[in-house]
Amino acid sequence: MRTMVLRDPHMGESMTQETLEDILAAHVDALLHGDDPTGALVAVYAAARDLLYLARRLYAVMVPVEPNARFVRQLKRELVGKPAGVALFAPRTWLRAPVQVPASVKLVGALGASRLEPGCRSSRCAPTWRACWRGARPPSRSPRTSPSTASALRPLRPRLL
Amino acid sequence: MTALDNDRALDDDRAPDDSRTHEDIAALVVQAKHDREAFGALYAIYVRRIYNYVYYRTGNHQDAEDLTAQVFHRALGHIENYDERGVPFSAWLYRIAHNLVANWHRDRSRRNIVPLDEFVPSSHPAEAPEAAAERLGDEEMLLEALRRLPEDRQQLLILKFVDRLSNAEIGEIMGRTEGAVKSLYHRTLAALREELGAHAPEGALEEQPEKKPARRWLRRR
Repeated sequence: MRTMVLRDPHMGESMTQETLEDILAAHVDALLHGDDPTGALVAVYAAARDLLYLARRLYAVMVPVEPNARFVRQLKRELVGKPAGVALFAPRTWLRAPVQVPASVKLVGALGASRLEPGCRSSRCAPTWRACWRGARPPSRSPRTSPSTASALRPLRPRLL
Repeated sequence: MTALDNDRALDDDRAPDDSRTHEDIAALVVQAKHDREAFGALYAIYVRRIYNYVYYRTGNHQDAEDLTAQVFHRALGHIENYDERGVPFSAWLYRIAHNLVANWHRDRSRRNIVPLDEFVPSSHPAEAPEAAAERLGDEEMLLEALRRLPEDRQQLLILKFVDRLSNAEIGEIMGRTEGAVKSLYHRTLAALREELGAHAPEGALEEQPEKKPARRWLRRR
């Protein structure tokens, strides 16, 4: 039996006259050789019918959507129009409020922390935090050193051992 | 070019002419490694496709915008390392998008977030309310079933029906042969049919399919 037309009949192509002729020829050949593929053929093409119908429904439902023009413009400006350093401060209005607010708080906090004296990161300086913010030095029992950022953050890192 | 012209060029968010050849794109990519304007041209070509891909994978516009922005920022950051001999630029972008969406889904499943917004992608303005309700129910059911499919099958259907890519292009993006894509498409439809119990009603295939909006910028190359 010539199975070529049966191998992949449901890939979105409608049946042509030639395909139908091939099927009928293969069918009658099989009958003459003592096989009866009628049931199998009908089942295959019934399945193909359902799949073709489903593919057409998907085609109708899955339509392309147009992104917001303002978003497209703004992102292009950010990517092309401004240097990367300035892009940090560009208002990211396409983000949702629940994302924007914590992000803003974190950014302001990070900028604030960068202005604090390094010694203020320790808990003993906590009461004088406000004073440190204004540029006053924290009360210190030992001579003031200026540890690097890495050493200041060391207690926050997870211990591996 | 004056500052005003430059500003207008930046604000020109229309979909670009889709007549660029593969060679044009390759030349733009080489130029984009040291020229932001060239990257802007690539952005204009692909932003809608990537947005659509992300939108159908996430189901809402806010996350689609957020992730699309991340895709292009990441592409801009890594374009110097991009090698044309590996995969086409579009496939590279889709892979970035795919990875970001996968991370997004992973984060969401960890935090167990339930989306509040509706997922109604299309609009048919001149339609009776009863017909619209029936159609929306049908569409919603189909899209729900789509979102329950494994990741690679969702990806395939989006690339096929929304971005209208050929099996060869989909194969490049998904890292499969054309034959494997064809086979996956068959298995995906069969799985969806099982899921939905969808059988074609009598005469259904003889009806004219719904008219679709113009897809100038999504036309297959």
